[in-house]
Amino acid sequence: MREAPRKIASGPKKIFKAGEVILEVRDLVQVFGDRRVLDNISFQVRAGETFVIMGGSGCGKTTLLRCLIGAQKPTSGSIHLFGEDITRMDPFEMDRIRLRFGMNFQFGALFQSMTVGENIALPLRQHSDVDPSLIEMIVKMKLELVGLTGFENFMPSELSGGMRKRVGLARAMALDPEILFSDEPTSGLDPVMTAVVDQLTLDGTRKIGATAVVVSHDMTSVFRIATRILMLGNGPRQGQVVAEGTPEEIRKNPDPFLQQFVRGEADGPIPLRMAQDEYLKHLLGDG
Amino acid sequence: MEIKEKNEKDVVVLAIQGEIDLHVSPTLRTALKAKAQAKTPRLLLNFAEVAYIDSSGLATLIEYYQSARTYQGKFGLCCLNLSVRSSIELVRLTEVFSIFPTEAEALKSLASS
Repeated sequence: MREAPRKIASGPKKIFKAGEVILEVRDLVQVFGDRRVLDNISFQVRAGETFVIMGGSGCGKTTLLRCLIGAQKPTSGSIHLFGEDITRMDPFEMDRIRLRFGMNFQFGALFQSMTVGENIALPLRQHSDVDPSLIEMIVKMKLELVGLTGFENFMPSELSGGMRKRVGLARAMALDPEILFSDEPTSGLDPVMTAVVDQLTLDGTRKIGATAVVVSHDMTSVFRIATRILMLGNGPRQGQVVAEGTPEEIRKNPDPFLQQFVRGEADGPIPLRMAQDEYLKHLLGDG
Repeated sequence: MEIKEKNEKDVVVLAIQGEIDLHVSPTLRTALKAKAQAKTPRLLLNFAEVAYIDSSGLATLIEYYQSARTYQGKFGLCCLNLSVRSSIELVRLTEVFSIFPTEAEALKSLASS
């Protein structure tokens, strides 16, 4: 008979096999005031994939990610995570789902009053009855994964921004999640550490069978890790899906908006500045 | 998770079935603690029926390894699938544990040590 630790509340769960739909977003809309940030987004993520969401600043990537982890209620549409619609869940039900995924925040989001080790141990202490001596070993293993062996007693304030990001990643992996959501996991990291974080993502998906959903605009990293890519638009195509496909399909897609982004070109259809008449209207007023 | 025990050539073999995650690693820990308390001289874990092991399971194996070292107990793992082997490789424990492709090879090595 299965002996369940006291604090674990995830209950019976369906194990998703490689290739099964583990996350499905349908007709997702998010409106803030009169601004439609996400506009009818639909996509599926299959177990074992590294699914990358990319797009320019302000295109709604982070808002979409917040919706996917249940931190933001969308205006309309549905999000089926592990087969259940999280947009209709109350906070208690959402807690049960949260035990099954990890969230790697853009800037680590560490508790400043806790040591690195305490930050990583927190999910295990909160959600499991794993013995403290085993938690100590798990913390050491997670720190080894992100190249920070021996840093468990450091305070976050004693670390560089890149190191804090890696501690955040170690914490997100503490419960060995079925899906790891990452918000800009490589921004601000040097090329070597970027490759290390990318390799961790690949190892998690290819070797362990986990699923990764990564928000990024680091093109080198995107094409290194992605099995499929979703491109969100901005400007006149704000929050719409511009393209979706394998890295090869994205490279070959002739959409000028997409190609400007992939190539990192200053000139193209992606609007950097307002049209002159709009700008003057904004500056001088309607009169 | 199920654990079946047998004795082969002076080696205690625990054949484990199921996924080793936060829910079930305490069961494995209880079984291994009993073996450590009994100072089992040779222990082999057969992972042929284990599809997955998480960090709590790996920590449980390390804990037994540390205990067995105190009484010079031999400890081996065999028949790991790709996922389990990868989990062990990722945290660089392949040099720590004695890992064998088959139970027969493991028994031969552990029984002669």
